[in-house]
Amino acid sequence: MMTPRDPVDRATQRSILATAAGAAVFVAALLAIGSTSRPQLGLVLIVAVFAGLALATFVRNRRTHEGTDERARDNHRRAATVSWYVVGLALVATMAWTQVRQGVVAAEPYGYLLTLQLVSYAGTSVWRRWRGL
Amino acid sequence: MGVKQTCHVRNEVRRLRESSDLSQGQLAQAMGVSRQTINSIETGRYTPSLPLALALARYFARPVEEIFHDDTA
Repeated sequence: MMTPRDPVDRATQRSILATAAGAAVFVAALLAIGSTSRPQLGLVLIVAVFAGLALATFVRNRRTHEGTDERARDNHRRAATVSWYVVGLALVATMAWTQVRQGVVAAEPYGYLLTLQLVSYAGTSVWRRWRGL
Repeated sequence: MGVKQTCHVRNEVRRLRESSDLSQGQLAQAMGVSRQTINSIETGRYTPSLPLALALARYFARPVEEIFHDDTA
């Protein structure tokens, strides 16, 4: 018999929705600034927002362990794995498309990036096996 | 013989926590994890690492297999 599941944690859902809304407002603000006569203010906004986020995340993690405990690391690993596959597939598709449309030379940068991705993966795997992990 | 990796692990963390009159936040603080992690363990959405399972067992002064059970066993 399975353990009965609680309703999903509402506070976490609210926090995720607030973050998504904040990101949307941030992008909208950047677009708005970009269409003014002083688009360089966008850079100031980016620096201020990311510095604030880094500080807030640091303080929150020290207080709650929310972004640093084992479950957060596990989630990070899973998200990184998905991201690795997505980027890899995008690189393969872009390289193939560029080769067909613009020739082999034009597609070389994508090939280098793909090689870097595969070499970093293989290197990490070999290193971990070498260490007996 | 290999260990089946897909078994569902039930646990008694909620019962033990409530009988100790602790909040999720208090237990989380004692374990050095987030409240959300304790919540996920209690609801069976997350299976803790062996070190965390051992820490919970030590905290409640119970053998680890008394707190975590293989649902298929």
